[in-house]
Amino acid sequence: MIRQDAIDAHRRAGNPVLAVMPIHYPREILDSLDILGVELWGPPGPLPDGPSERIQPYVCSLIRNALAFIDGGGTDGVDGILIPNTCDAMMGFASMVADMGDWDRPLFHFHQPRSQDPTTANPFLQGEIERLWHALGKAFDRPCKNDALLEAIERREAIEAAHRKLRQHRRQLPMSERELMELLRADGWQTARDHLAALEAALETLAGEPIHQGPGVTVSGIVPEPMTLLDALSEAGAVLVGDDYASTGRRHGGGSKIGAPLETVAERMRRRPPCPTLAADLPIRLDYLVDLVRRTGSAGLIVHTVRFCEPELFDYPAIKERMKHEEIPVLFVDTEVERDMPGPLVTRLEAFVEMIS
Amino acid sequence: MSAGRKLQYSLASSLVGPTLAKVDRANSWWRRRNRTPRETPLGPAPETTRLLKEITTSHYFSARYADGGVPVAWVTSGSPVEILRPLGFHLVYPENHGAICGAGHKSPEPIAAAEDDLFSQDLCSYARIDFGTLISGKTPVGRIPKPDLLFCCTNICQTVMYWYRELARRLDVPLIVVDTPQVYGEPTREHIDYVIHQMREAANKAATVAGKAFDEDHFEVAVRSAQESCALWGECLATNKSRPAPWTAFDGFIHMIPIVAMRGTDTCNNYYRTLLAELKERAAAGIGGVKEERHRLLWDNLPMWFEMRGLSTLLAEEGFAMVAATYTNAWAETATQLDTDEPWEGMAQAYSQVILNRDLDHRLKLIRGMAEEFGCDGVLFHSDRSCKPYSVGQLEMRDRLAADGLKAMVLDADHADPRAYARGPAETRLKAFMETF
Repeated sequence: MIRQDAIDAHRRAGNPVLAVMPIHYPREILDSLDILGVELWGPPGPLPDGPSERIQPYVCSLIRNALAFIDGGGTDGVDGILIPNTCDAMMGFASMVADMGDWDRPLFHFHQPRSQDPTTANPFLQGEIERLWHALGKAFDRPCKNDALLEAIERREAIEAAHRKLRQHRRQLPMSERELMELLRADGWQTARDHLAALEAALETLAGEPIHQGPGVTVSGIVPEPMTLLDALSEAGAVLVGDDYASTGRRHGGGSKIGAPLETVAERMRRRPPCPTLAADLPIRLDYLVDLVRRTGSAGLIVHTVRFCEPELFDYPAIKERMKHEEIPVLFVDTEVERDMPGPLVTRLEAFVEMIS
Repeated sequence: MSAGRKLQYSLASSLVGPTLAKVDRANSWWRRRNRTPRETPLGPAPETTRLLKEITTSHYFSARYADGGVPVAWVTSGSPVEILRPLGFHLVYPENHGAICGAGHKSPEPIAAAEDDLFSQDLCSYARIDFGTLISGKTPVGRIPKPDLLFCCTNICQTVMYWYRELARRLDVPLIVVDTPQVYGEPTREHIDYVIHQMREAANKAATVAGKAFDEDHFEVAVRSAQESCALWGECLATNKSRPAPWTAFDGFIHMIPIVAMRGTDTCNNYYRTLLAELKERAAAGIGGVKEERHRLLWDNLPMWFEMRGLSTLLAEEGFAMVAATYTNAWAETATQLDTDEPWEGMAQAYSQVILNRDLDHRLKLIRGMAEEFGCDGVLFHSDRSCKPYSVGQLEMRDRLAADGLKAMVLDADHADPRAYARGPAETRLKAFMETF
């Protein structure tokens, strides 16, 4: 099933479709209301007219592409848009869509707190989730029911467990890196039920013995569908065993029966791996990355960011310093969302894999 | 904190700093006395500029002796510092330091040091200057005291949060983040309550760092004084509604130092009283910031600190006076919201509704309103590579204003990294823009 089929099928069933901007939002809430969230991470690949010229070229291509996609009618088939407070450019984008465009459908904001103090941040986050839940319910005439939310939480937990298992047993999975990432990223446009089914089918194919033998690597970064990097990694003989991409591994919470449903959703969001866009404490992020590399048996870390991505770029000197201290080789790669990976970058990647092999 | 160091700081603040500043002023006068004044299309600079130099020199001089004597906090320019004032913190503004480096053409060295340490060229140049200064230890202000606390508010950008997280790691000092949700339309009750809660928590944490109890009465005094600072600053800016405008927005950028770095202090308020009196006199006497003012412009975004003189002269040569700026206005805009009867509520409202924390609809209305109030014929948008929250939406706003019949141009540059500014092509475009008037 491709993205457009999923959207069409969901709409035919009389259910709303929401475009969702990256990165963090309570997916269980959408699922509980039978709203299909279709994430807009670019989209990848060149757009017919290039990135939007309504925004300066020093803003990341993720935002410029998304704006061009909307202007080009790419989101005409959705019933609304959800924009979290991911970064400055994203908040400017939200305002451009609302105030400077022709957007005529509901627009929802979601503010993930940056406060470091849990006594302030936790109740606020739960309040934001609840506010969003009721706003979506009201806009699409859906009842907000606790039992539906509980079921959605359980599905989400099952999805994340399957993601983790697939990555954990990556070497036994008869799939290319690209195929696996496509499967995982389908979480950004499939219904939770369909996605869970696809994951379970993939888990059925796990071989008893490792199929992929190359050196393991961990990748951390914001690039959503890094297919060209994954192709180059495969070509070089490496295996992605540690996933800290913001679009996949960094969005896994944990725990399905923590308390009341809304409390559980909030707590699951708080339990996600440290993300710079959420103001995660930097030493905690560094510890997490070292642990991920060690735990997955990775021979090196690739930091893969999209150009002009401030949250990631600010952390890189600290990551480099810490990995040097831990004697973990690091490769830094910054790419545009819309471009193929340039030749010299592929060569650097090959050299890196050769070095860690 | 040592008593000896505290005495040093106290003497530096009250005696040595001001004395050195006065000596420096006398030296400047001595050097200038026989110099033939340069031919310039700009009007005479406000006399109060000399006083500004004095209080700035004194402020930075006293900073050298602050650490170890009094608690030191590094703060962002939009931080609710009224919380820290009653606790006796000496406040350091890394952004202000970045502006000083930029204006003094001293930014390339720290920027290079930061980039050598792997900070990307795509990051805010203020942040790069700050990290570069930390790495190299070199600064044009002599010495920056080490902080006991980092205090950051997201109302100006998220960038400061990433920046201060890394400072906290490098310096191993506590970080307080006050998170102000972006205001789309009007602020919600939930968001204001969230900000109040954080500010109260910040007061408790800062009190622990300072080793002093937080005094609500002193806090109210600080809020009242800050409100007065903002109001006085607003009055100074409003004098430019006169024709000719008695000073330019470029002068205003320079005179922002007290409202940013000393807001709520007697030094700040006394300074703006003096400046206001002079500006009123200039307005009454018809003394303009530009000698022959024929057109009036509005500036949007931070200044290009390294190019202020060149740009103001280029514009003035053609009779263009930059009479207002959304940036300088930001420190006056929310003065009325600093409610001294309900200081926590007022602080949360004021600090949540600064220009950069609001939507583009508000920005556009503000620009239209200011252009009308100040009688501007056009708008110059500085597309600042380092400041995305200020720059995203400018191209769209330019087109909207053009549709209203207000001439507008976008100038690509950076607030403190001169490499992002192509002077030749920019001047050609500016001249072409001015010819359309």
